[in-house]
Amino acid sequence: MALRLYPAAYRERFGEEMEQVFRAQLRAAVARSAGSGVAWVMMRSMADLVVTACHERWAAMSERRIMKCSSVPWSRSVWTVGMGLLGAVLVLGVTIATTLLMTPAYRSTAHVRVDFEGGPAGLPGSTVYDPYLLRTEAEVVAAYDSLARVAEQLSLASQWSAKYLRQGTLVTPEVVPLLRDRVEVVPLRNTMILEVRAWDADPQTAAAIANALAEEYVSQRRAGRTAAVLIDRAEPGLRPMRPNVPLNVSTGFVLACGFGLGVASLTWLATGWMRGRGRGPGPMRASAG
Amino acid sequence: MASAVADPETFLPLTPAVFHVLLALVDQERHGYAIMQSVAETTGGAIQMGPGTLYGTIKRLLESGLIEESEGRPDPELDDERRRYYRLTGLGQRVVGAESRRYAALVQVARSKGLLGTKGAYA
Repeated sequence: MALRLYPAAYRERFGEEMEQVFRAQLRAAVARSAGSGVAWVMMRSMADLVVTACHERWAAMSERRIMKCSSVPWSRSVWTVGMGLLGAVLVLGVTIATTLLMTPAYRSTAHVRVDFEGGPAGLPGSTVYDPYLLRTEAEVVAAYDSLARVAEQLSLASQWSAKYLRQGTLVTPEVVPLLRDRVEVVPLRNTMILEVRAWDADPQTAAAIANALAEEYVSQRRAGRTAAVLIDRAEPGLRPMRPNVPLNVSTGFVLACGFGLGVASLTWLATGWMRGRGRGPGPMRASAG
Repeated sequence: MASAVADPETFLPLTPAVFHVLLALVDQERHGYAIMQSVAETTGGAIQMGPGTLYGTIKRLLESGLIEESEGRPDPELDDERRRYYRLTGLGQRVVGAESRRYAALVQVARSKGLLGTKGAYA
């Protein structure tokens, strides 16, 4: 019965011999001593059978796995190329899908020139350029109050409520942070010009925001010692800045090639390892157990 | 599959079970139980192989071409049952010889270091 633990092929080849040996051992044990010797032989043999049966089962399963891989009708090269292509197509597909699913964003830009009463450094008669003055003015453009007035002027609360809320209306404290995420005011280096940038899914809205913010700043400075002039009005963008489809696709292509090569290499190594497991000096060596 | 021109060194070192089974077949062909008895006798009872270990070893030795099956016949000392006999192949003889020389070299080293007393290896 214990022989049933062994794989069928093993049982067929060695089963009868093993039974003969076991019976001979029992007879020898009986001849040497009484029941205790027989019990000891039986226990030891059973333990030996269980352990070696597990080993033979595992070896048989491993052989079947190797045979399966070896008998696959495709060659190792086909597997390698196939897996590499599959990996590359997967990465490229994910890139394209992500690009298509991204909400487009249009950017519009207005330019405002800032004239400080004291010149570029804020000091009368000085021609030294002080970048901190323009940086400060950039922060003024995007200040909370300016954004709130632009949001009210353009009725962004009602526009964005329909977009972001199922019901109800956004209030100004909620709209301003949303607007702040869509604008950026950047001083152009070595100039006295501020670039007012605005993004939105609608190109018209993006241009309106940039222009409204620039005009709001200009009107704030009208009464002060620093003057601002809107020198370049924002226009609706013709193409979305995001996603940049050509850039995304080309980047995805490069990544796909790299990933595909990586997968192909791993597949080559894996198939070589699986097929090489039965070769070599075999399990005779002590180091292989 | 081992070939007749395979290098015996590639099989070394042998596991103790394999080495003793090969040793048991050096002087004559034997069946499984006789191999088991020979191993126990050679080692003074220190190595007692069960049927599972014995035939697992025999299976691997057959696959490696170190032993081969001989003509089956009854063992007159046991009973009338027909038993399979095994014998060393040429490769098996070279392998067990190579392993024995390896052990001899190790014994030489141990002896030179004064490690070996008067007792036997399995005492």
